[in-house]
Amino acid sequence: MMTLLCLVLCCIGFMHFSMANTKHFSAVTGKDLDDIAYGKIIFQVLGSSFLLVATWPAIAGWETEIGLVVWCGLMHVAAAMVSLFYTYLPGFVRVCWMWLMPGGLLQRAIAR
Amino acid sequence: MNTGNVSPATAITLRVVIAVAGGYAASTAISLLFAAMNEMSDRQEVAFIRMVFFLVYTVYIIWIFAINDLQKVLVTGLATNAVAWALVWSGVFS
Amino acid sequence: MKGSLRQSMTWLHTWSSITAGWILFAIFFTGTLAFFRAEITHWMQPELHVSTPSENSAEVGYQYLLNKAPDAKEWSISLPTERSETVSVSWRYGNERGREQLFAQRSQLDASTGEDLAPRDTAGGNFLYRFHFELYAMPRWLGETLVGIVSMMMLIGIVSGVIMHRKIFADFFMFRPKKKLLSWIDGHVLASVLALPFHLMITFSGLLLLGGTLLPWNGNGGGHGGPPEGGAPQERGGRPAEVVNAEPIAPHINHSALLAPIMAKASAHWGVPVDRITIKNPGKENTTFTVSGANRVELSAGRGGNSGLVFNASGERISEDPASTAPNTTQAVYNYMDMLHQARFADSVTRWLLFFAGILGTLMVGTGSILWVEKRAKKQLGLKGFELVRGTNIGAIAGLMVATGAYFWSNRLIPADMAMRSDWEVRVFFIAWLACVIAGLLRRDRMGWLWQTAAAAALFSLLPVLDVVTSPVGVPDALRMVFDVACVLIGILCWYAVVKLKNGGKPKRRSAAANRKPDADNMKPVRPRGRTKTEQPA
Repeated sequence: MMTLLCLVLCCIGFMHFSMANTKHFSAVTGKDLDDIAYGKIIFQVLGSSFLLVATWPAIAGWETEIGLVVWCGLMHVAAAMVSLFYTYLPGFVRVCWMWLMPGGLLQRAIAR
Repeated sequence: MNTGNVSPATAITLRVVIAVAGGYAASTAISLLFAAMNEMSDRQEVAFIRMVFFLVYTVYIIWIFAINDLQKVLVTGLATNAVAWALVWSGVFS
Repeated sequence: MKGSLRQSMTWLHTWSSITAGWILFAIFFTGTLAFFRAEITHWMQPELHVSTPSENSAEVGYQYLLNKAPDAKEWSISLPTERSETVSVSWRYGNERGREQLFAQRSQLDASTGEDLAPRDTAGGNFLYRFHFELYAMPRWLGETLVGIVSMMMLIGIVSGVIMHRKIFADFFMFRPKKKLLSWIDGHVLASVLALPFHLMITFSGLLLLGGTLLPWNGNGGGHGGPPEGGAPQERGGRPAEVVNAEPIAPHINHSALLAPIMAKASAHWGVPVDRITIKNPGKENTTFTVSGANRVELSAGRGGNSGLVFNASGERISEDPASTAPNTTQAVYNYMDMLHQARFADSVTRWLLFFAGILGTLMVGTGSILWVEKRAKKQLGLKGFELVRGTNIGAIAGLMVATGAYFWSNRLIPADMAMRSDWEVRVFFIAWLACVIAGLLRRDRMGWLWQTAAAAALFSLLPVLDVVTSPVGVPDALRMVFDVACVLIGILCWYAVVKLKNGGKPKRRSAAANRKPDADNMKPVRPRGRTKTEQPA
């Protein structure tokens, strides 16, 4: 359970990070990242926050020392998953971003 | 010493030797120095030296390869070893 | 070296990696498998498969010891855990300083019936584990030194790879294969970057573990197994010498009824089940029971990180052996890295995560070597040195996997009672490997790769079938499942490679959806802009 939660949080974090990249952003949303004020920074901050928060379920499940190892390990898996999503399931990424991710919702709210 | 006329093969060999052998020697001296600077038990020292050694060795090799000029490489290799070992043998830190 | 930092680092990365590449692949592959050493050894001893853990596994062990070694000074019962299905018992007549028996005798028992299962002679997962850090058939110091040198080259390879590819972190998730199949460089970059923290950790900690051999001038490390660990070692016996003969003969008190309540108290205390009971002076009034469990939460304590509880002959707790803790930060950090590398602490989830990262590392090394050949193929085809590397690549990479598969297959196909069978299993490994190296040198092109990769894929993916057919118990237990699943995964990766090889790199027709993506497929992954000819005069 904690594993899954940590993994999901890591995935969300990485998705935000990747959206902070102009090429990814245009690929997924069709818009230009530079049009969104401070978009890059906001997404990077959101991404880091999610990754940091992901340490909480890992430590809750395993105590600090081993929990951090699990967190790291799950980051590897999350990074792999997000990379593969981009390549093989771009539509899924689009839907996730626009409707589910805080970054995406923020983007839709800001960009007018 | 004019190193401009050295063949590429010799130049690379020299660089590798300095990085690998010179690096090993320098890293040994530097780890011993760091260990001598702090009071620690025997077991702690063995662990400490191992960690410091491999960190220093890695940085050293990268550094030697990052330097453009072969002459600078020679000087760096000799100088780092000379200084480090001098400090070790002088016992300044123990 | 002349040129920018990126060019120097590219040169360094290429040469430190490719020279070490073949041994490194072997080290990485066997090391990754060694994460599941216990599972592999269990799989390779089918006689043990009949054992199923039961509620009275401890009593079963006790009964065996009572019959077998009633006069022993110390008994030890290791219970089935997440990583073992049998009861392991050992007993010792003398104490550690006594002459009679320095080494304990041991047996493996069926956890339900207490039957002494005599597993077939096999090196099991230990062969792969030992090969991983000391290779084979050479003095230990030599093997460890070679592994150490190669590991140092790997560390340089990783660091120079990161420096040369600084931009990668910006374009990180950007890997977009033009065709739906990954290109070699995509695979290499992905495998490297996705698990970069792991690669750095495993290489550095590996060097630390070999520090005794690599830094002989540094203290009394003494090679593998002798790193300086933190904390006082837990007392495990070692009482002052007792005069064995002078004791009056007293009737043996059977304490087996105490085992269940003692274990219940201990596991209630820790929240995890008991995995080991050590009984000192069994059958007497002053018998003590020391129990331990998988209650480790710290890595910084090193190997003594579990706490134990001690009970007396009435079942009351008399003391607690505290978990040792590292006496200082240096040793805490060192122990942390030591434990991480060997994954001795890892539960199921953590172990699979480490295995996943290890597979990525293995892919990183393998794709790197393949990439090196592909990049130079056009220019250097026909040159002796290049052809040698090209051919050996096949045997070193695909051939190693064929050899490992053959090793596992030989375990089930070589008769259980054949003399020296464990030596024969190892011979099969090396013979298969040699055959593949030779085959790779003879057939150096894509077909050569295809045959060997397909052979590896077949060997690995059919292992579960072999398992079910040749084990006395058809349905695999949890440990065998781990092994079978891991092998199937490896098999799938090999099949993916086979498909890729068959397609020969011709771009597949793009689907309509792919054509609609705005600009997506025109974005190439970042490559170092250096020339293919990376030799630079210094």
